[in-house]
This record gives sequence, C-alpha cells and structure tokens, in this order.
Amino acid sequence: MPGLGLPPMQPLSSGMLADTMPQALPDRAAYEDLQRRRKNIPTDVILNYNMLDKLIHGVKTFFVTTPKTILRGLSGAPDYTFSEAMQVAKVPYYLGGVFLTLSPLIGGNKPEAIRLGASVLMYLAGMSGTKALINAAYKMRYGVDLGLLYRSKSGQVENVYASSNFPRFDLLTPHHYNDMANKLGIPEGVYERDGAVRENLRYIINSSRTLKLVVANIISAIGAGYIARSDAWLNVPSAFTKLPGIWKDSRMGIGHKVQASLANISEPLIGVVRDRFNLAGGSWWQKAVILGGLGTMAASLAYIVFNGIPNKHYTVLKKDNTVDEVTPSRLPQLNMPAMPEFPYIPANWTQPFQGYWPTWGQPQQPGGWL
Amino acid sequence: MSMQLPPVQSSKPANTVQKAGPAARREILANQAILVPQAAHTAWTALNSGHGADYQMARLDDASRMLGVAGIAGLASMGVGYPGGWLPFWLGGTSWLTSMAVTPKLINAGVRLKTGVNLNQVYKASNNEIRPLFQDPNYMPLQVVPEEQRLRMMQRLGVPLNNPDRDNLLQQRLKQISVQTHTWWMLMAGMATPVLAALGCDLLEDPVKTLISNIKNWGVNTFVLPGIKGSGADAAVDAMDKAMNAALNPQTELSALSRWWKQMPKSLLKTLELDKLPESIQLHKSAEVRFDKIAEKLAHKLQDANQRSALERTIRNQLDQLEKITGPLEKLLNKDEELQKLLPEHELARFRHQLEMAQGSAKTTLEHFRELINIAKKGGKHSVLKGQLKDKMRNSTLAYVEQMFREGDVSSARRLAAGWEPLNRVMGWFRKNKFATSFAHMGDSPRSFLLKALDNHALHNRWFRRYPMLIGGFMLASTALFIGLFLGKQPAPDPSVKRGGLS
Repeated sequence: MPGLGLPPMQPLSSGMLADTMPQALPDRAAYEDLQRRRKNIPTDVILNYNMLDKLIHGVKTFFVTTPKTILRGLSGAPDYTFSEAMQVAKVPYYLGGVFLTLSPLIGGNKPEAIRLGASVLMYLAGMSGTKALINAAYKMRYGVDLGLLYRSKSGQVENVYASSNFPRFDLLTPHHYNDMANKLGIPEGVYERDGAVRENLRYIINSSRTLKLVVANIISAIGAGYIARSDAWLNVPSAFTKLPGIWKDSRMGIGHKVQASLANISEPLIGVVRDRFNLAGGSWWQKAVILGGLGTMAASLAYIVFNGIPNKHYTVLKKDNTVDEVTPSRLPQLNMPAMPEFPYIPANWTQPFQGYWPTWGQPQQPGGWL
Repeated sequence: MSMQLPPVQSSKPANTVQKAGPAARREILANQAILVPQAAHTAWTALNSGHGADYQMARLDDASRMLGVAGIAGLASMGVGYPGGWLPFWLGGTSWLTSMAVTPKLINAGVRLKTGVNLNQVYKASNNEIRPLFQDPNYMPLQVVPEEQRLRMMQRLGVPLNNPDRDNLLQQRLKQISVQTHTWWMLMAGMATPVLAALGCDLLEDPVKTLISNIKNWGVNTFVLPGIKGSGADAAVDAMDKAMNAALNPQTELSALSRWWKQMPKSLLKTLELDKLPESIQLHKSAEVRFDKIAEKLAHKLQDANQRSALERTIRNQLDQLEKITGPLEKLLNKDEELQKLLPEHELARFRHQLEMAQGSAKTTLEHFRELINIAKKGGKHSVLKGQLKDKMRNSTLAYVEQMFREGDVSSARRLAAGWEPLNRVMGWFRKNKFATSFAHMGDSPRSFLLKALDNHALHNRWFRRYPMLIGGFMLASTALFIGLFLGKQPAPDPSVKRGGLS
C-alpha cells in the first residue's frame, strides 16, 4: 500500500526477511497493522465480545444506534448502508408488538390485551431463543461462532457471517481457522487448509440460516401462538400487582419477601405450562402441536450434530513425504482427553503370572478411554 | 498424455453473457406465484448441500413468515368449538399479510406523486431473478432503466442534463429518496399492520359470512332440496321450506323485525345518551357498577322535562315501528291462504304465538321505560330519584316471565320461546335460523336490556370507530407531511466548500 509509506514489495528470501524485519513482526500483515495503528487509520476489527459485552451492545443498539440510524435514514444520508437498512427493518417487530398490545388496552379490553401482549413476548422470545440455540449448537459442533461481530471502518458493528455471498473471511485469524478445521475434521497437512474451512463455512452459513428461518419463523411462531392462547395468562398481571404489598409488609424478612415474590410470579406461569403442555388431557391437535414442535426442534439439533460436512476426500501430505487420502467422518469428533497413566506403572510393564485364582489389591493395567 | 476436452455444448454463442434488464409483467407475476415452492427448494438445497445465496434466503424468509401466519391461523381455529369460528382467524391472518403488502404500496404512491419515481419497480437480474430495483441503497443497477425514462427522472428531480456526471447525480438523488422512503415504511409498518388488519377484519367479517352462507345455501338449494321435495316422504320439511322462503326473505317483515330488535336498543341508548358514558364504564367488568352509572345518568336526564318528552317520543316511534313491522306479518300468518295450505294448523299457531310473545315483550320493555318517566315526573332529589329508578329497573319482573304467567303454561312458553327444536334443526341445515335467533333474547328486564345494549355498543365502537380512524388519520397526515416537506430535500450547500468549474 503506497499510501501507508511501506517499502515496496521485495522478492522473498529468508535471509533478507531476517535482516530487514524485526523478529517480533514475522509477517507483513502484522507490520501493516502496526503502521495503521501508529497513523490512526481505522480498519475493520473483530470484536471478541463475551456475554456481558453482547448484552451491553444489544442495549446500546436498541436505545442509541437504532434511533440514530432511523434519523440518518429519514434524512437520506448519502453513506447509508444496506446493513443499516436491515437494522431498521427490525423496528416494525417491536413497534408492531407494542401497538398490537396497546390497541385493545386503549379500547378497554384488558383480557385481550394481556393475551396479545403474552403472544408478542412469546414470539420475540421464541425467535431470539431459537436463533441462540442454533448458534450455540453450531459453535459446539464446528467451532463456528455465527454471532461473531466486527467493527467496520465507519464504526458500525456488524456480523462477520451476515452474508453468505460476501462473508468477511478476511478478518478471521489463524486461530479461528485452526479451531474450526479441527472441529470440522479437516486433517492437518491438507493443501490450503484455510480454503477448505472457508468452503465449509459457506455451507454452514447457508444451512444455519435456513434452519433459523424455518424453525424460528414457522415452528417458534406457531409455538408462541399456542402457548399464548391459554386463558391462564390472565392471572399473570394480578400476580404482579400483589408484589408491592409483599415488599411493603414489614413483618417479612428480605429472604421471605424474595421467596414470596418468586412464588407469586411463578404460580400463574406454571399454570400456563400446565394448561398448555397437558399431553394426557389435551385433544389430538394439541398433542400434534406439542410433539411435532418438540420433534422438529430435536430433529434440527440432530441435523446440526450429525450431518457433518459433505463427504469429501482430502489429500494429505504426510511428514515422510507420502500422500494419504482422508475422508472426514460426518459424525462429531469427540476430542476427549486420554486417561492419564498411573505414574508408578512403567509403560512396558507386563504383569507376571498371578496364579489361577483372582487376587485383589493389585493395580490394574490402565486401558484406553472407552 | 494430453486429454482432449469435448467441445462446449450450448445453444448460445460462447461469448454472449446475459445481462440484467427490465422484467416483463408475465415474469413478475410468475415470480410472485412461485414464492413458496421456490422457498421450499431453497431450504431443501441449503440443508442438503449447503448451497444458497442471500437473495434467495430473503425470499425464504418472506415465505416462511407467510407460512407461520397461516400456521397460527390454522392452529387458532382448531379448538374454537362453534361453527364458523375459524373465519375470524383466517380473515385476521389474511388481512395481516395484505396490510403488510399494501402499506409500502400506499406510501410509494405518495412518493410517486411528489417525485415521479416508482419505487415498486423491479428488474430481471443476469441470473433470471426478479429483484426490486431500489432494495439495496448501495446497489441500484440503474442501467436496466431505459435511457428515456432516466432522462425524464433527471428532469423531474432537477438534475442538470448538461452535467457530464448526470448519471451519478441521479443515482445519488434516487438513493436519498429510496432510503428515506424505506425508513418511513419501517416506521409506519409497525403501526399500520395491526390497525389496517383490524379495520379489514371489522369491515369484512359480516360480508364474508354472508357470502359463505350464500354459497352453502346455493349448494343445498341446488342439490339437496330437489331430492327431499321429490321424495314426498317429508311433506312437513317441504312445506316449511316454502313457508320460510316466503317469510325469511331479507326483504320480508320477519327479517325487518329482527333488524328492528337490533336497532331499537341503539336508539334508546342514543336518546338517553348512555352511549356517551366513558369507555371505562361501558366496559367495566362489574355489572353493578355499570348499572349504577346508568341509573345515575337516567336520573339526571329524566329530571329535565324536555328529555322526558324526547324519551316519550322515542318510545312512541318505536311502538309505531313495531306495529308497522308486525302488522303485515300477522296478516301473513292469519290470512295468507297459500301459507294456510302449506303449514299445518298447529305450526301456524306456534308461529303466531312466537310473534305475539315478541310483540308483547317488546311492548312490555318499552312500557317499563314509560313507567320510569312517570316516576321522574313526580320530581324529587337526584339521589332519591336515582334510587327509585334503580329499584324499578331491578325489581320489575322480566317481561318474558310476565308473558309466561299471562299464558299460564310456563314450560310450554319456555319451550316456544327457545324455539321449536326440529324447526331449528332444519333451519340449521339451511343456514337460515334467523327466526330462532331473532327471538332468542327477547323479553329482558330494562336492567339487563340496557346492560346488553351497552355491551354491544361498546364492543362495536371500541375498534371500528375510534382507534383505527385516529391512528390511520395520524399516519396519513404524517406521511403526507413527510413526503411533502422532507422527501428528496437536499441539504443547503456548505458555504465553506468552494465549487469548481466556471463561474
């Protein structure tokens, strides 16, 4: 990059590299990164967010970023991006939910408002819960963090795998690639191992998105509607209205208050679960909904775990310069740690003849795991 | 060894590449029609082999949401427990999806009026996909728009035609307009979808019910009735069918009677101004509270002589109307020779009896209100009057019970009032049980009469008249303001930036 004042590219030779570059910067990308950081040039960086960071990021997105984006959109900002449009496209779900709940309330029909409010909450929770579940399953099985975020040059936080046509593979580090390759079962020593990971990542992005769309949009929506339809929801608001009385009661201790509040709130919710998941007493369509929904969820998780990557042969160059054909298993690779050996038994120890009768108290030969 | 590759088999010359271009009407319609099957194919392919593309995934999103709505409607209509209960759910789901589709179109129409830009425009991509032209603000392939249309847009949007960068300037203007409109869609969709869906349900429920029952009637009348009539086995069914066809035609008096029964409480409510009670009272869950407020309002009203005479006038009008409606009906039942021949005497007697009861109970209810006027005429304090009215309204025996006592045969009167069961069953087959329903709720005490009337009034008014009109008006006004004042508005040029070129 001439703009950064870097030296022109030179033919690579190990001696020259050792002479011109310090040992701490073994590659050119790191050197360029350092230059950018020195000159305060913004770049796209991966954000390693933990749970708390993600929560704060979500709150900030909801209350700060989205209103700002809406204002930018209303003024028709010339640098408005498609990802910002996608962010604003989530607004109708929240706004519509609020209006759907408020409309009967304005008209004075409180029971209907409670029912609709419950269904809106169940819908949003079901959608986000299903997506989180599928993401967690992919993370466990393939090491792919589908919720991985990066901050772009212009300061927007976006998903690395948001698009399957243009995923930001360029931001992934060797650590990411290694982790995913191991879990995908791509053997070491394959030519362009990262390329093999990228190919499978595209498949994973597509199949995970499809699963999310099908399971969340259809199964979770129907399930939310089914659960929200119960009349047991009508008891929930009254449980909350009793809470101030409990907390004002001076005779109770703090522990007692917490316990009483939890019992008060959980009682109607348990009533909902009892009403809706009553397999024995329900009609045929209720059984079909419950079993069908849970079955579809289980099947999608089983798909994630057992489908694996499409059957593919990899040519591996071994250390003794021989070539081997490897077909990774579609089943999950359980990289369990080996059982530690007992230190007081030598590895080549053979057990002498003990006699025809079994004796106790002798250390057993350690076997492998499983 | 060198391998010989086979020649490429293709109908086209090797160097032609299909380019993006305008889409034909036929292709656009076909694209809408294949939404769900194509989405199923996308899902199947993605889950099997992992292949897929962003745009196809977006289509899958649309289709799966549609199926989700259908699933919710289907599930909701499963355990309703009364015939026709499925209708509101499917109507709600359909109007929900329709309003989701219609809201952007309405806003786009406003945008087109102001700027001449059609944001509904689609194009055919090089891979034969039909895509919205303005979906992605960073990728609007304006080369698919014909040159002539682009020039017209430039003229309309004030882009100088002599500017060498005019295509770029047009792109910028269109991007601004599309981004603004898309954001406005998203703000409006949250409000418009519930409101428009509710409005659609309210407007369509009765017509759709009528339509469905007509369709069902057509089937029964065309295929079932000739069979029954021809058999000659059930002469009573045949006779009743003819009698009902004569009597239950929407234009005839019986139907007018049932309509009058719906309208009469409304007119009383309006005269007494009970429909202006606050909504919190109208829909209060305690009947006693509502009754108390009704009595209070009544006492307040009836202290005024003008109001008393207005109520008197309403009662007289209603009695006149009742006479006008039931007179011909009575004549039909007593003197119509054809009907006399068709129906056996005991059935005619039943009809006459029901009619008398309807008249009697309606008259009794109205007479009760006359008595309230008489109580109020004596004068007195507001609180005392309120108590007297309350007592009168609560303690007056149900007109229905009075009627039964007058007849002296309580059990048969009850059976008759509930409707003759075989008749109701036959009417149920023909979906013409108007006769039974129009007599079902007659003969209430003034208390329950007023409370029921108030309930109906409040439930009817809740959604239809107030809320959607308010929100809809707000949305229309704000959309018009946004489009009129802010759409396509360019920021004032920054004076610190010096423009190049000749000046």
